[in-house]
This record gives sequence, structure tokens and C-alpha cells, in this order.
Amino acid sequence: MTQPPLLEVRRLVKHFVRKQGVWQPSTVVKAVDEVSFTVEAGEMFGLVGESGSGKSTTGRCILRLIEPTSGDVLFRGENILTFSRPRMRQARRDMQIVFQDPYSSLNPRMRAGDIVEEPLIIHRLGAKTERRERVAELFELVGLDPSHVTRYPHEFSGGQRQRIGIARALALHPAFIVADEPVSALDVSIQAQVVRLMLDLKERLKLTYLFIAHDLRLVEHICTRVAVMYLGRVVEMGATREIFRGPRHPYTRALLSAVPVLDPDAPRQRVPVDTTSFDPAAPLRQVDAAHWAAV
Amino acid sequence: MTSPLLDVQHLTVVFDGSRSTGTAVDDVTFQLAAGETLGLVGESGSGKSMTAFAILRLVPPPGRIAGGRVLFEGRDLLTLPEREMRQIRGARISLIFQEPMTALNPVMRVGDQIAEALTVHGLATRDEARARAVELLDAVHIPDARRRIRDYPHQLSGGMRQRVMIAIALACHPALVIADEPTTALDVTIQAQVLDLLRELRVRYNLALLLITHDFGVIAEMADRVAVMYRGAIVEEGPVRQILRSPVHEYTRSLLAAVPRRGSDPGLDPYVSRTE
Repeated sequence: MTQPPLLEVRRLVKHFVRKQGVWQPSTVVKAVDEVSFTVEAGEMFGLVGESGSGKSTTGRCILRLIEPTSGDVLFRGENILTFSRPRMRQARRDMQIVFQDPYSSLNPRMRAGDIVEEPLIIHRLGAKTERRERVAELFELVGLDPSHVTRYPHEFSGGQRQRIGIARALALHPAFIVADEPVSALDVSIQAQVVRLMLDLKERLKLTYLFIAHDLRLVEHICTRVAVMYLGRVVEMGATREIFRGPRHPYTRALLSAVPVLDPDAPRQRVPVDTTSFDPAAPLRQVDAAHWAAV
Repeated sequence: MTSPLLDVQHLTVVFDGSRSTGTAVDDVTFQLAAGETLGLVGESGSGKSMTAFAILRLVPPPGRIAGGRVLFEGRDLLTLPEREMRQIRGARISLIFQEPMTALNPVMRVGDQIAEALTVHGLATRDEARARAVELLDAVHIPDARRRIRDYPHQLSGGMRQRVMIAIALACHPALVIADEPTTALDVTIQAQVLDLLRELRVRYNLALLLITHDFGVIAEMADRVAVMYRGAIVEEGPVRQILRSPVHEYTRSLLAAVPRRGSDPGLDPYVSRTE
């Protein structure tokens, strides 16, 4: 393999400083703490964890929507953290984000077509008629009716709104998409439709995804590899199959055992999260061919 | 056969619009025995929460109950005077909501909120109610309950807040608890703890539980029987094993097919494109 990975995250750190009050010293929250992983082109890489694990912050640091404290983010071999503002703007054409909440992430005063067209205007791509054509094409691509471009977000259902968000993310022909809990706000039948669309687009447009999620059942089905985050650190990483069949880290075991199973007679062996059973500072080490754990 | 604790018959809730009337709950009938758990499952807008509100006569306007009967402990709640209804709400039937942060009063100590549930129904004096608040926080496994009663909701984690909500719901020894998506806002490890707690309390207090959820996994873990709602109506009802293993209604089947399963064979993968 001569090709470098599409994305390489090296020892990414994001500290938030919290001021407690006038007389108390401010404390540092290590939201992302020395996180490293690589995403190969064409892959759907899952980043899972519970709230406060740092998974969303990691996703945002990779796109520099939040500036990381330290570390490297290599995209096609180049460290984008060293990019100037104009250079970064160019790079963003290749790296887009789909947000969780299709209710709050779309501007309610803008028409759906304008929301999808906006990135084209910002990047000065095409004349008005060409842009309109591209918007109609994008609407069709994500399964929306192109005649609905003049409608406002509130006139669409949750699933349709998420399709608008996806169309907007695809407007600039990106290679890489950070999908930050893209279906967690949707009903389960709608979730399946949107996930199917994302998988379909991945094949047709040769996309690579960083799929951030808390629903392990979903991740098990769609991601080739997965990293499990806990308190800002990756505690386990590797091929999805390996991790779901033989989790090595106590936190991953607890997380997997907490997932409700559809069978009422399935044996339930709940493993509680026992923070004394592992060293939170332990580094990742290889435990199998395609499997790393901080044990 | 003894009569059930809750007997909902032909319950109908409509919303009056300026031009037309919409039906949110459409001729819903089900029974719930003491100590039993019925899962009411459906997607958003299916009418499952509105059914719960109607049982408590809390349908927000312009919605109104257009028909049916809600027999609880032998009395029809829909014909009771409001004064008597207030003695039932929060006391004999209590409610646990999805989002504990919005359901709890942010400027009131949690101990006082639990105590209020008792004093408002005249079931205890202030001092008795305070002592009982500590007992209840103990019962829902909040460590160091004696100190925690002085906390405000924002000082507690999401899981702890949901435990406080459960403590409030249990304060007056209800016979029926209606839990509307009680774990949807919680992380999966916290959800597991809260479900374990509900299971334990259900046995200890012989509670009947009407569990409203969109998650079939939660249903499988908790329910004895399941009623599936779609567009305001119950389309299928039966014992949990029967519904999960051999659903009959097309809607139930499609809903179950959309749930990703742990470690399943690819044949059951909901994300494999099928011709629709």
C-alpha cells in the first residue's frame, strides 16, 4: 500500500478551560485526550461513546469547526491544522459535516433550495442557472422532490429534513463526511431509510464517512471499523466484528451488555461500568490482528 | 376473573381545527392488570403519549376527549369531578416523563419536590414528608440520600434526575405508573440502570406499568404485553413474545424489520436495500 490513509488523526487533544468563579482556580476539561486513528478511503468508520465521551468534539476538531489544542489531522497526507484560512476554506470543500438534529441545524427562514445552494454561492461555483440545476440534481440524489425547493424546512418531515442536510453536505462534491449522530433524532423506520441512503451514496459517490453514534446496534451493521471513546480517550479500536464479538476493554464490555436485546428470553448479563477495573491512562496496545485495546 | 386495574374502552381524542377535526386517538381499547407491564409502542405522532394524557384527563387544547371510558379501580375517570381527579393524578396514577430536566422544578431542592408530592395530597405533614423523601431516594438507589435531598436538579446527572422523578412518582404509593419514554434521553449504560431499577420497584410495590416507548429493545426487556399504535389506533396487541416473534400486522412487521439486531445474520439487516 503506497496510498496514505484518507484521514489520519494523531494525538489529537482538545482542552476546555472552565472558570469556576472569581475565587476558585479554573479547571481544565480534557474533552479529547490523545486520540489517534486512521480512516481509509471508502470506509465507514464508527466513533462510538456515551455523552461526554468526546466523540462529537473529535469530529468537530477534525473539520476545525473547533480548534484543537494540539495534535495533527492529516487529510490526504497534509496536516490541515497548519493550513491558512483561505487554504482551509478550500479544504472544506472536500470535508463536510451532517449534523444530528435536522430541526435545529437548518435555517428556518431559508427555503430548502437556498439551504442546499448556499455552499455553492460561498465557494462561488457556477452561475445562477447552473447552481439551480445542481440543486435540483442534489434533491434527486437524496430522494427529495426537486419541485419542493421553494418550501421551508418546517414543511418537511424529520427524515426529509435530514435529506436536505445531506444534500447540502454533498453540494461541493466532498470526499469525506463527518456524520454526527445523523439519525438519532429520527423514528426507527425513518432511521433505516436515511442510513440506506447514506450507504447508497457512499457507493455511488465513493464517499468516506466518520460515523459518530451512540447506538451500537446501528454501528455494528454499517461500520467496517470502530473506535470506542470513554472520557476523551479511545479505549478500544479495530474491526467491528472483533470488537462486538470479543470486546477486551471493561468499558466496551459494559457498553455492549447495556444494549437492550430484542429477545425477551435472552440471558441478560449486565456488566456494570466499574471504573476501578481499568487504568484510565493505559495506552492502546494491539491485542489481535485488527484489534487494539487500552488494557 | 377479577376486573382489571385499568380498563380503557373505545377511548377517542380529537383535535378541533378551524376547518376540520383530526383524530389523535382512535377508538383505543386495552386493559392492564395490577402488577402488569403493558408496552405501548409506536413512532412519533402515533398517539401513544396522547393516550396517556387522556387517561389522566390532561389532553392539551384544542384536543379533547370525544368518547370512551377509562375505568380505573372500578371508577370511570372521564366522569369524575375535577376535585376527585386531582386526588388520583400523581397519587394513585403517577407519570414519569422523558426529560427529567424540564419536568423537575429547577429552583426547588429535590427533597422538597418529593415532599411536595406527599403534602399536596395531604398524605403527610412536612416533617413526615421530609423523612419519607430520604427513604424514597434510598429506594431509587441514590447514594448519600440524606445529603442529596438538599441538591437542586442541575447538580445531578441525567440518570440521577430520572431517579428523582421515579422517587416522586412513587411517593404516594401509586397502583399505576405511566412512563412516557423514561429512558430515551439517557445514555445506554444509564438506561440499563434505570430499567433495572424500574423492574425492581415494580416487584417491590406491585406496580402496574404503562410503558410508552418507540424502542422495541426496551419493550423486550420490560413488557409482559405489547400494544402497537399506528395513526391513533392499536393495530396489534398481544403477549411480548408473540408480538416480537410472530407479528401479524404489516405495520408491526415493518417496524420490527427496521430495528437493527445485535449479532444477527445479514438476512435481517435493516439497511440492505430491498425493493419497496
